[in-house]
Amino acid sequence: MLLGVVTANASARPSDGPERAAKLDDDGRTLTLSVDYPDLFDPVQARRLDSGFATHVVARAWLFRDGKGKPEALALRTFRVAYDLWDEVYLVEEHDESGTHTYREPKREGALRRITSLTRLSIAESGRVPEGVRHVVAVLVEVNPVSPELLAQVRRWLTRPPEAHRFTDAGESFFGSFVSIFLNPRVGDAERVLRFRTSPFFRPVRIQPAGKAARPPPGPVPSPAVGPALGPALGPKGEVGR
Amino acid sequence: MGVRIRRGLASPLAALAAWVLLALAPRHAAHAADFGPSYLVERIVVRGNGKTADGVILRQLLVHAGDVVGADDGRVEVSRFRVLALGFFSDVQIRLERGGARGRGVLVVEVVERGTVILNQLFLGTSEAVPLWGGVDFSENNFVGRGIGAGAAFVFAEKGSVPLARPQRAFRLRVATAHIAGTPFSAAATLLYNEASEPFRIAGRDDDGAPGQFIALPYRRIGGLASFGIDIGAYSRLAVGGRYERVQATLPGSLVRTHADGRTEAVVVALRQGDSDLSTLILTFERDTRSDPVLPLSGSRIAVTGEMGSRLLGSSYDFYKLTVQYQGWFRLPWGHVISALASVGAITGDPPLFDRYYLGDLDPLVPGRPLGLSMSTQPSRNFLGAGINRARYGTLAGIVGATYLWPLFRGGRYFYGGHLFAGGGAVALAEPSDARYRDLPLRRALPIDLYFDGGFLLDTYIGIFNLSIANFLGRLPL
Repeated sequence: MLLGVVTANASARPSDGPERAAKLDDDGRTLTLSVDYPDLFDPVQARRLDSGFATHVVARAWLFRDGKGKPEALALRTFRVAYDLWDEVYLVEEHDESGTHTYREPKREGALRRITSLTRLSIAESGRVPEGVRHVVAVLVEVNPVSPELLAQVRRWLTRPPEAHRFTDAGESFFGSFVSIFLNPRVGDAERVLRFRTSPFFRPVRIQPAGKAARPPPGPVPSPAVGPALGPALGPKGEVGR
Repeated sequence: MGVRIRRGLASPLAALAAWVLLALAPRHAAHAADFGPSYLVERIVVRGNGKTADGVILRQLLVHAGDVVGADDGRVEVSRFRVLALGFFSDVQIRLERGGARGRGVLVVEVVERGTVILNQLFLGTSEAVPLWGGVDFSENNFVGRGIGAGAAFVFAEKGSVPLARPQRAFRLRVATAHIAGTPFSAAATLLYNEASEPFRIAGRDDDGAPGQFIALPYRRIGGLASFGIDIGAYSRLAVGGRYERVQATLPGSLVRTHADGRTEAVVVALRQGDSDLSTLILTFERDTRSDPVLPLSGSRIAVTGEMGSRLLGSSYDFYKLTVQYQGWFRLPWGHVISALASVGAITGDPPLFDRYYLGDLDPLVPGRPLGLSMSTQPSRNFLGAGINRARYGTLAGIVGATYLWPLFRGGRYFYGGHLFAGGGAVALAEPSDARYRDLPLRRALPIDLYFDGGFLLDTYIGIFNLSIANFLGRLPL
């Protein structure tokens, strides 16, 4: 109902957020993104992982052609983490289109590392990312996102004093007042939202050893080398500069 | 499996039935907890509430002592929002601590209290008829820490320049409680006192708003209203109320308006000489699906209010009043928003003056009635040169309009959102006799006018600011 849902209005533009170092790999079939965002949790929020209840992290990555506003592809990865009070262990669940993986971390730092990094997130099929065209990936990460429906309801409760508390009885205008002053706590779309993007990049190109077929071997390739076709925006080993 | 009150229940009876089922349902029912361990809740502890009673917070929780709660139990987060939505706290966190035995936990609700005194409205303005009026409407939404809303409002107005005018004053006291004992029922009661000085036109053309063309008659209202409401699902609400007022008016034997051509006609005062009683029943239905009450981008609000005054209820005024209001917001592909407004109202019978539709209630370019007091003799702008100005009050009213909203920003830390807006529409105010008797061409007889408005709406940490043309014109004698 509220947690673990993808908020309908979550979106990103290629210009959203600051640039952040990221690693883009291409195994010939899939373009993948690896990036860390340890600043998602401050110390106070990190301690809330110990609450005994699940914390949800939803990470989305949009692939844009550089200079274009319409995304070419969207990738999603979600995390759940909960502390087991009695076993004193952090349970971490990671879910994306490839499936669900669970981990047990004895320390909070380990759990935090799991949920504050994207490792080889599949962004798009390689065939959909033409060579020689600059792209950028915009990333949006949310902690405990709330459904727009519930958000709207809570917002209504919070902003408007219950109607019965007001004096809009018979004989009074229902057109607005000059000012309504009160402490107006905003409930956000999520407890924490982080936006960033990669530097513009060209699709990484695998260097094929001489005499080998052009077809890539099946299965993931840990760290492909980067060929000379890469543009100036890419650093060594396909890492996009900060 | 637990029972929850579902959104979209068709009737209050169904809501009541669902609530009864909820109350009777076994509390041990575990909700879906497909991740992490589950715990038996030994007890619930509330921390950080210096002023607010524990019970006020505990009533909002969907988890109770004795329940089994999972690590990813949806009830926990909904409970957190329910506590937050009380409006008494700036932060609410819910966590577990180890209980007395393995598999048991203590549910800890930690709150940070915030100020709950709210300044709802400032009344301040001037007009040709009333040099200065002012007042405030404020409330304490967590009275004595019991979650009860208590409020007060007052308006004072100087003696105006209308002949026989007196100083005016109005007071309100109100208490309200939402979700009595955790049920979907709410209750409210208001006491009111008005000393009014109402201007009636006795000379001059319809479009002449000079105070000298009017005479003021005093009347007093003392009484109150009580209402009970029920939430029907997440978006709808039904309320039933009763109102009683003692009205005291000092009226001349007859009041006559003299037209420029020498014709005379009796002025309808719509008040009883001496003491009279007003006793009514009120039924209100509201459905509010707005995405945000201040700066909505989608959704709608529909309100239907029916009121009946009858001798059967001991009232000196027999009337039926029905008002239907609709406003919808529609997001455009490029992110801007169009808002459409349509309201109609009709009264049959013999309503008291202050329960009739007033021009300033409809037309944003005409000063309204703060706490029910008339502050202006200004007629409608009458952009169409039609017959809107024949009366300041009517028993038939309507308004249609549209507003274009341009969201400038949303989501700031202290400035939550801002909209530029511009719009306009048409208002109508009439008596049934306007349709029956006409001595003017139809275009000039139609009781309609156009209005426009534009400005800036700002939603901030400390409140909501509406800076608009209509707000400005409604407070200054322009």
